Amino acid sequence: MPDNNPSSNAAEVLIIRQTADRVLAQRHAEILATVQGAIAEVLGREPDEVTPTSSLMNDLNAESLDFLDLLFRLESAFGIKIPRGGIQRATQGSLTEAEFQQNGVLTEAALERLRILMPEVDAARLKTGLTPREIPALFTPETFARLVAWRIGEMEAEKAAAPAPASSTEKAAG
Amino acid sequence: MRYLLLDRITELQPGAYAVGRKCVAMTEDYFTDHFPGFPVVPGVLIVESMAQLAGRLITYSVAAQEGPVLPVLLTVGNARFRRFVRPGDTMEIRADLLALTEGAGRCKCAARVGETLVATAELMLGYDTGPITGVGTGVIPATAREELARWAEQVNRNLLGDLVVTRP
Repeated sequence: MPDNNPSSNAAEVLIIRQTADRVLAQRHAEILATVQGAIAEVLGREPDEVTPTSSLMNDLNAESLDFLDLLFRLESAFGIKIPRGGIQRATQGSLTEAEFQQNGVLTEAALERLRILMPEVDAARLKTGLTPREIPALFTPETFARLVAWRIGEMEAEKAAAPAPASSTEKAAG
Repeated sequence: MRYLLLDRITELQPGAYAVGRKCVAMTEDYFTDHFPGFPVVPGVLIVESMAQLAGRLITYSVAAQEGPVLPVLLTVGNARFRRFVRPGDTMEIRADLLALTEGAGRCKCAARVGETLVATAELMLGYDTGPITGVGTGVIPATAREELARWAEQVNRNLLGDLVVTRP
């Protein structure tokens, strides 16, 4: 087994998880509703066909093109930027390929990260034997609501850390 | 039939917008069937002209260090054909870049004849995204891509004419 420190592995994704949780605590219903609406539009479905736990791939027949369209719409709806492949990248994070998957199957370190990043998924499905290709099949509207919440949280943190605007003494002097 | 449905690109601001022109000639192939005695440019071909302009806008908006960019049309949304376009018309096509990310871009496009808005559509185009999103030209084999890139370079220079545009 690779020699990565389990607690630092968890720490890396816990930050993402907590950022999302913080935003969802205040805006979950609103974010989820917008996400469900966007998914319905992208897939040409009635809104009530898109339940919070529908698997986009398995229940709604979404494919990679639809995910791409969805990400653009969510960026536009929430005024955020979502790195393409953001979910996959967050899942792997700083793990090397070997630390992430062995013989086509996700390592325990990878599964640990998934359990933290995707609390909306039944833990029973995140067990030994899961392959990287099966990850997108786990995505539900709830998954995308979390993704959006994470990016909103990151953006808010960036704004808060940004340098203060020019002081008013410059205006007064002019 | 030939499939270059753009005659000139008159403005191109990387990362922002492009304006191009398609002159409609009586001699175009499709008028034989669309329609006999009443030539009208097929709406879907107006969308194709938009896609060809949007593709160039995206090509020139992607950083040069990313190498050859070969956009393909992925989605067409809200296409509206408001007026017939006839032989002798000159369509001015405008593509505004709404968003550009790794491997894909979205454009809002409009076609006008003179002052009259004749068609609008929102397009999403992808270029080499390969493993990131699984769509786009990542699946075109390397040798084909080199040839395509060279061909595209030539065509784009002709379309741009005197206009000098450099990728960021």
